[in-house]
Amino acid sequence: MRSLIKNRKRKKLHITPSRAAAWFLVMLGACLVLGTLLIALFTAFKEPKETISANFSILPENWLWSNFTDVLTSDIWGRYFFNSLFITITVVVLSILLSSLAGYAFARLEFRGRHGLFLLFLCGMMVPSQVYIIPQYMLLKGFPLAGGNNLLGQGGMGLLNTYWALIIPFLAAPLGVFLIKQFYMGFPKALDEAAILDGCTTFQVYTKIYLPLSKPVFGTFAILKFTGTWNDYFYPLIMTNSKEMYTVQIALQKYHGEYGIQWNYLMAATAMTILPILLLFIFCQKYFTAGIVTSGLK
Amino acid sequence: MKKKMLACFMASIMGIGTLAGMGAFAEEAQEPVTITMWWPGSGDSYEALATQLADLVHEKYDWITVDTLVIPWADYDSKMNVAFAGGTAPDIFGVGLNTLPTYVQTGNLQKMSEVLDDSWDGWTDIPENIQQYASYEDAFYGVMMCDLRPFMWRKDLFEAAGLDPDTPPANAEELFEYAQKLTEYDENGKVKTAGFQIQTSGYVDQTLFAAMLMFGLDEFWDEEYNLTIQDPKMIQAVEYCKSFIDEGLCNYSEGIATTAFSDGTAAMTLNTACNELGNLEDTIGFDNIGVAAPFMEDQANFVGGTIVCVNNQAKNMDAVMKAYEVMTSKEGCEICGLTAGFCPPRESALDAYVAQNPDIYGPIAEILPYAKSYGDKLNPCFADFRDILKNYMEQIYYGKMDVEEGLQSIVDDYKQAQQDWADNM
Repeated sequence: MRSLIKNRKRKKLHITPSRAAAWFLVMLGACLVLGTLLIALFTAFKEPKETISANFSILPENWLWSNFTDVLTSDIWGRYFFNSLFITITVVVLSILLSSLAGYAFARLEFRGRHGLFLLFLCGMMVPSQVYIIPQYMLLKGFPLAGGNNLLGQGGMGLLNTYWALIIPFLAAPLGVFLIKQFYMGFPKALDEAAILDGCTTFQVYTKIYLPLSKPVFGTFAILKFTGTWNDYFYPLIMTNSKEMYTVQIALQKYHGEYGIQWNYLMAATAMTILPILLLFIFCQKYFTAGIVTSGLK
Repeated sequence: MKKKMLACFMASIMGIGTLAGMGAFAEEAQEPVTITMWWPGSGDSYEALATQLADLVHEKYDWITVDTLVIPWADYDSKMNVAFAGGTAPDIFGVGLNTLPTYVQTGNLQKMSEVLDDSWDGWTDIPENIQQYASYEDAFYGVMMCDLRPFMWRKDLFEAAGLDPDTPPANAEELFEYAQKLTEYDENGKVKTAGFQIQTSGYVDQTLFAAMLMFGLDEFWDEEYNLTIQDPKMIQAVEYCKSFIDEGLCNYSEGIATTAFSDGTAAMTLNTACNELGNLEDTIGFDNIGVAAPFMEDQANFVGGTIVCVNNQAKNMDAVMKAYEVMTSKEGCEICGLTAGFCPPRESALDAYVAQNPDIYGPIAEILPYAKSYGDKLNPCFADFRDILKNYMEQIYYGKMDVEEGLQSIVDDYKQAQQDWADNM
């Protein structure tokens, strides 16, 4: 034990110039990021006059907690948070499930056109959403027997302005399929063969062998998907037509006028909206790193 | 007897039928209708504007309900485009002054001059210039809630600089002298507070237009959409703006959506919209702000605004037009002025607007009939023009390009953009 501690001490003392330089750069980067976040956080406590004062100071003169209560009471923020959480959690859970099934199929099942299909799937990652937003809008509007539509998808609003419109299009996740496929490709095929010898079907190999070992890649994908869906602004803005369906990202725009910005309120609201993502990172960071490493994206 | 009984029976049947018919008619006329209205903007003031307009309509016609939605400026046009493509565009919606031609070209806007007859009181209540700027190709498209630019200054900074806080500069020379006295620098010699706000990036057109008016030029383009910016007066205007930068009297202003005066980093402005006064009251305080009509000839300065338009594909056009007339009535215009800070376009609504604070809002109401846009006609290539102008003006202001050479380049690039636009039509 003592020798182990000594070794550790020795390792700690072994600082090369290149390592020191690397640490310095990392710390500098961390300070920049943290500094920006802290300025944003402190701005959330300032009076409006202070936010535009020519004499900039990092700390507020008077700590105005009321900015947070003003924000919360000024609008239906409970509803916005519920919408964002409901949509994000549903999208994350369902897309993990679908992506892992697809990833498993692409990684392990032999079928004709597998590679072509996978490439086609990856194309989804390369097309910007602005390109297909109008066709997607038309598809959702013309969804049969929904939102007042008839069997031919006419007469109503279809799935527009519903949770479905903000969930269904995001369930197919090319990035997730890619990540999970790469992760599963790293598994030895002997595992599959042993399971099949023990009488497992292909699906059971997936549920009993692959799924339990997928925590790291699921953690990584969950963080990426959660962040992407939670922060999405443009898509919900286009697909919703009432305040009751707005998400927190659209609600934040309330403080961003054509010419001016209410910085204190914007920062207070932003601080509240980043909390879920912050918590997710804190709880999933070990999976995030492991998932990135094991899926070959390092 | 039989005949009498038959006649009575027939008469009663007819009577019942008529009453039933009238009942059905009355019911049909008051069948509840829901219409939609979208407004570009953000914040509580715009929410209040939309809600109060909807309530006003419902008060007047209890069978009409208006569903309102306030959409952030930055993505308003994208959302509108998708909604038009998908056939879900609102019945009534706001359109920015300079984007009106683009909307007209989509073929979705109702020509209001065709549906509002001569008895409509707006024809006499709204000044001619405001009607003109809400028109394109000889058709009037709607009532414009105005966004005017008076001369604003910081009284507290005037006092600190030893100037009379109640006397703004009276001409271009005085403006420059005041700016010299008002500009403050930090310990590194960088401008901390600019004497006068010169927009050197983003919406450069707005300050430049004010400077043009100071030197007697009142349009960027003529009736044929040819640029007039090679006029000697324009060269004087650009050199005047540039002199503030050369003398170190203004800071580099990168903000596209914000202005230095609103940010508290400029002491005087001709470029701050009257809709910002609500925020300025909170951040700077009305005690510290002076507002006056611009000192330019005729007190003219730029007017922007939101034109309230109607979708020509609206399903319940009768209800939509009824709602429209209420929203753009004297009471509707008052709501727009008292909530979101628009200057009401109707002269009859100005009293209520001014009464909020006569010192602040009075001068704004005064300049309404003299306000000008960038040309007598709205330009369909405005977005290209603004981009081109922005690119070259930045180079001119910072000495990368000679003034005349820069203006020539603007004209050349604009002609190309016009050609591209014509080819795509």
